[in-house]
Amino acid sequence: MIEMLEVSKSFNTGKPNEFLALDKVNLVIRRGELTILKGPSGSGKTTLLSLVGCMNRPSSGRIKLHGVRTSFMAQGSEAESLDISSLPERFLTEIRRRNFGFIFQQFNLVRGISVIENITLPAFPTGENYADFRRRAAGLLEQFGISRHADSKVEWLSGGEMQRVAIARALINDPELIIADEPTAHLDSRLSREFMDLVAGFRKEGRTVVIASHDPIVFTDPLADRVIEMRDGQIVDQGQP
Amino acid sequence: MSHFINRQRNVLDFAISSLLRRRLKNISLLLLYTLIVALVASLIFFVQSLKREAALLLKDAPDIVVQQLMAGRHDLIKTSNMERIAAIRGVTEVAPRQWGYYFDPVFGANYTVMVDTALGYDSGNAIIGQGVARNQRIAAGDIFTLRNAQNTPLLLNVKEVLPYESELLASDMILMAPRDFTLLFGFPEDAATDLAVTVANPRETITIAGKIAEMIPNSRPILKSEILRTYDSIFDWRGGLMVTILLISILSFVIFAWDKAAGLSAEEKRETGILKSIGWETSDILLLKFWEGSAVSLSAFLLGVAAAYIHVFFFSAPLFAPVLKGWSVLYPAFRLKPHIDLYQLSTLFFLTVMPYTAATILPSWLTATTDADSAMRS
Amino acid sequence: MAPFDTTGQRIYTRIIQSRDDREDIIRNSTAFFAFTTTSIVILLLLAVHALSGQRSFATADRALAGRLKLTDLCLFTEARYTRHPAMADNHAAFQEHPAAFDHFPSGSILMPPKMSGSSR
Ligand SMILES: Nc1ncnc2c1ncn2[C@@H]1O[C@H](COP(=O)(O)OP(=O)(O)OP(=O)(O)O)[C@@H](O)[C@H]1O
Ligand SMILES: [Mg+2]
Repeated sequence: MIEMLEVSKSFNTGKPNEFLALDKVNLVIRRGELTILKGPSGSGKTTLLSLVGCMNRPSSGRIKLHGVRTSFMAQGSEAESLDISSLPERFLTEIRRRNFGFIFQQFNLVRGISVIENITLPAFPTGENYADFRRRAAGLLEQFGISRHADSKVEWLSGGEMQRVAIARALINDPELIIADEPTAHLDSRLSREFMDLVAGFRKEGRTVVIASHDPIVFTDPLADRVIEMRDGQIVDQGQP
Repeated sequence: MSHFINRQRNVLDFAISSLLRRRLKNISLLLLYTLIVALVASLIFFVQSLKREAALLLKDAPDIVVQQLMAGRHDLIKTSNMERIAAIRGVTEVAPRQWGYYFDPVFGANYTVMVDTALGYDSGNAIIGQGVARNQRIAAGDIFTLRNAQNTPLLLNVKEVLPYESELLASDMILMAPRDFTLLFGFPEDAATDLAVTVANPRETITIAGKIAEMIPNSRPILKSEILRTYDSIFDWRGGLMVTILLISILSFVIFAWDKAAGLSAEEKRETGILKSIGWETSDILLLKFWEGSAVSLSAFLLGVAAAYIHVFFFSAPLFAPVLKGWSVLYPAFRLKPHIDLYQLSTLFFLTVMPYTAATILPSWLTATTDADSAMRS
Repeated sequence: MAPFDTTGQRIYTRIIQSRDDREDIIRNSTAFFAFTTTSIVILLLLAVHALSGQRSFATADRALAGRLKLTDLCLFTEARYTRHPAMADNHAAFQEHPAAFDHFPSGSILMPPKMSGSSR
């Protein structure tokens, strides 16, 4: 689904504090697989995820997407590959919105508004019918057992509930690829295991999942198709193909 | 199309939720804004309807009023001049106007006393304006006294009180017969305060005024157009109080709005990052800010204009009363005839809704272009 | 917390059938449109009020103004030049109210008369 060729990313390019966060990374993420990135802090996991998730463009190298849904390409060209390294930001956002769901370490929920509003937030600018995504959100709330909190403000929730709200939000646009950065960092081991159960569910549904984590509960999970190890901006172990 | 509408509505939904989060702050902001709009709109309504009324009421003002000057000051004019003016070709009528001021030391009020040749009552009777009736606490059928030139009381019978509607014209007026006027002021019988000249063809007015000025040395003909212009300039949009209040309020508001919006809090910046990371485009975020700004400013505009209308036309602009009353002991309590000037209202619309919305959008423009991945690190 | 032992699709259908009452809550945008529409209707009603008020305009007043050949409105009775601005002397000072000791608020509203014969 995603193919990375010789991808490098450096920060503060041209300045004395220039920093090479990713160094010529080659990586293929296959459709329907659970890929886990592990590695010490500062090894470039978040940076890699931001590139996979089209949040940022690489400094050099190419990233190709295969078979993603877009509105700016003709319907027939869906199967063809798309080189995102040169696409303008507007198109990247479009790809992200339609195909990717993000779960962040900090949950990144918007405080002061209700749980259901938080969940539907990614659907607002798509121009989709309100009733439709509200219904989907209600379904997700039910599925994650947080229906009774639908109208509470997010800051009143417990950490585990916030996590589930964040997951529900990642799923609202029915993404094909789910990207999670340190999703269990703020959870105890029981909740972490529950999270991995959910991930198993995603895979069963046929979604592709990429998780960056240094939590053993995550990277020792038997369901993982591949565990990729990173160090100093390079992939040191591609895991089993 | 439905896609477009859905997007607008969805973003508007969130914009309002977002505003309601800081409920106290945003509601007080809305109230303050409404108050400013109401004040400015009141002023527009008030001044415009006065201006209109002045134009309508002064439509029948004399074409030329001839004043006599004496040492540079307004003096009485000899009625013997009337025949000479009437002889000028194009003049259809010359009528003397006898009027003056009476200061009532008891009530401390100034009245305008005027001879009404069509009074319809004998001497000893008078018609008074509403203001005089209020001030003296008298009504039709009562008798009131004025101190005459010989320092003896002049008794006058109130035959009529002018209707409430004429307050704007004649609130302070005492209309009396010529004999009473002469007695009251010791007014010379062969003189008038000024002469009202009617002209057959309005285009000849200036020529005729020139002839009059030549014929009567030290006379000052005042044209109707000058009278109208005087009132125009009193209520001029660009003049006096109007511009002061307008400028101050708009300026202060823009500064205030800018100050509010420019200091985007860290929380708001974080939110922008979150929205970007979950797939909002820069244009979506600007649309959100647009709705936030318009929701506040449009509501303020609509509420403010409605409040202004009610303030001015239902309650006779009590907020402006202190300015209008000034030092006057007698002031007209007129109720204005409603009038809406669409041009000025739309000017007000653009002056209120535009700057505020712009001030909301512009600062977030800068943060809206931050990278989406900033939300992954915090 | 229920893991995905049923497919997502099936859960959605169940929810659609059991219709949650949250749908009854009025959308913010609906409330805003309702508010805006109400305000605009109120403004339109006020405009109708303004138009209907004009029809009965000032016929009695105009008759009075014509009969007395009036040149001025009775706005400020403080002084000669505020009571009859159109008739005021061009350059004369001290025209104030007998009891006044300073200028009036109306003085800031009244512009000096614009006379074609004057040097101003
Ligand atoms: N915007 C930036 N400017 C400069 N350096 C950056 C920037 N973003 C990341 N880095 C650097 O890139 C390196 C890799 O960061 P990254 O966040 O990808 O690591 P990580 O593997 O996710 O670490 P952790 O496990 O602690 O989350 C770090 O050393 C970081 O300091
Ligand atoms: Mg990281």
